[in-house]
Amino acid sequence: MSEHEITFEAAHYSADAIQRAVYKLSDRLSCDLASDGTLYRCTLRTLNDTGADAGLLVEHFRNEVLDETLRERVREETREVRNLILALAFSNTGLVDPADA
Amino acid sequence: MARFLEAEAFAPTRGEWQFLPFRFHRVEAGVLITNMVGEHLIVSEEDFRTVSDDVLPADSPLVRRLRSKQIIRQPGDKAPLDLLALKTRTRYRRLSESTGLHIFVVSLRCEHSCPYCQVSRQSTDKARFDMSRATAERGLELAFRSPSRLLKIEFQGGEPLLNFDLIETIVLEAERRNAQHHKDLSFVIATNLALLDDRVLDFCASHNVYISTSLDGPADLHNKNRPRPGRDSWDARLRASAACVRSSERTESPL
Repeated sequence: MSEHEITFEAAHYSADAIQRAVYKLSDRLSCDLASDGTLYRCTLRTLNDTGADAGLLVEHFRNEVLDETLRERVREETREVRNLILALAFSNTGLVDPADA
Repeated sequence: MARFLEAEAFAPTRGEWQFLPFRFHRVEAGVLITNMVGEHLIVSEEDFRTVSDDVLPADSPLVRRLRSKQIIRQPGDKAPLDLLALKTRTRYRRLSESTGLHIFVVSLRCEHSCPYCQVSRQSTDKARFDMSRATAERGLELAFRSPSRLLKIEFQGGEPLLNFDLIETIVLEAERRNAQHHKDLSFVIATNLALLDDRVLDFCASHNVYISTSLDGPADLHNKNRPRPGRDSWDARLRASAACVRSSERTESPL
């Protein structure tokens, strides 16, 4: 087991994105997450590493946080259009009471 | 005279793409992208960077692929929304019908001791593990409240034939209620057939009750999996199956 500390700027990354990345890799590492308002500090502990692999895993985690940040952006940008599509889909099925629409 | 504008007038403008809801996952072949209704495409890492960095050109094979799967659209283009709504409605169509299958576990008693049975099997002399008539009537009330035009009532257990009196009651009561509801009503008994007799066969033939059973394999494997007094589960099942077929042929009922 090895320990690594990396930081993410709170202005560009969210705790939610970091947590989702941690959860995705939770079979290979654990994480203590702390914040001072401007920085998220991640203390990573690899569960089964052999030195070189640990370095790769940390970089993999960094990229996964990037991916989760992109997913967050897509969710935000498409939230309204998604709700519009669902409203279109179910508007004439009889499942929605017109009084509630 | 009016004439069509040049083709460029209809071409999408560079950089004016909007995302539609999508998910992505990196795989060995590249990046798997799925749209709101689960349709997918796989693009290269390089192509995916143009998507995520918002640097898609006005037109390209990649843009055409993304548009065809409703991953992106031009602002104001309503057709992708209508398409996704239609696909979503089709995908969840079954929800408006609600459930049509209602399972009545009429008894937890069983004279078999199958090791893999998920039911908490009780021995045959414990009648308190049978469904009561009050519970059965309440179950029928719930079943007939389903908006589904199809209604299948399946009897399970334990061994449901150990409470065949209640099965008869439920079938007759369901038929009586259906005179008002006019649903496509059907019945099936999931049974090990060990207790099948002429009374059961005649009733099932008269009311179009299907019988469902299973064999675990050849006799030695089946009997090992399905122990019962006499260790003759396989033989009993085959004899009963033959009786079902004869009854079905005689009465011209499905069984």
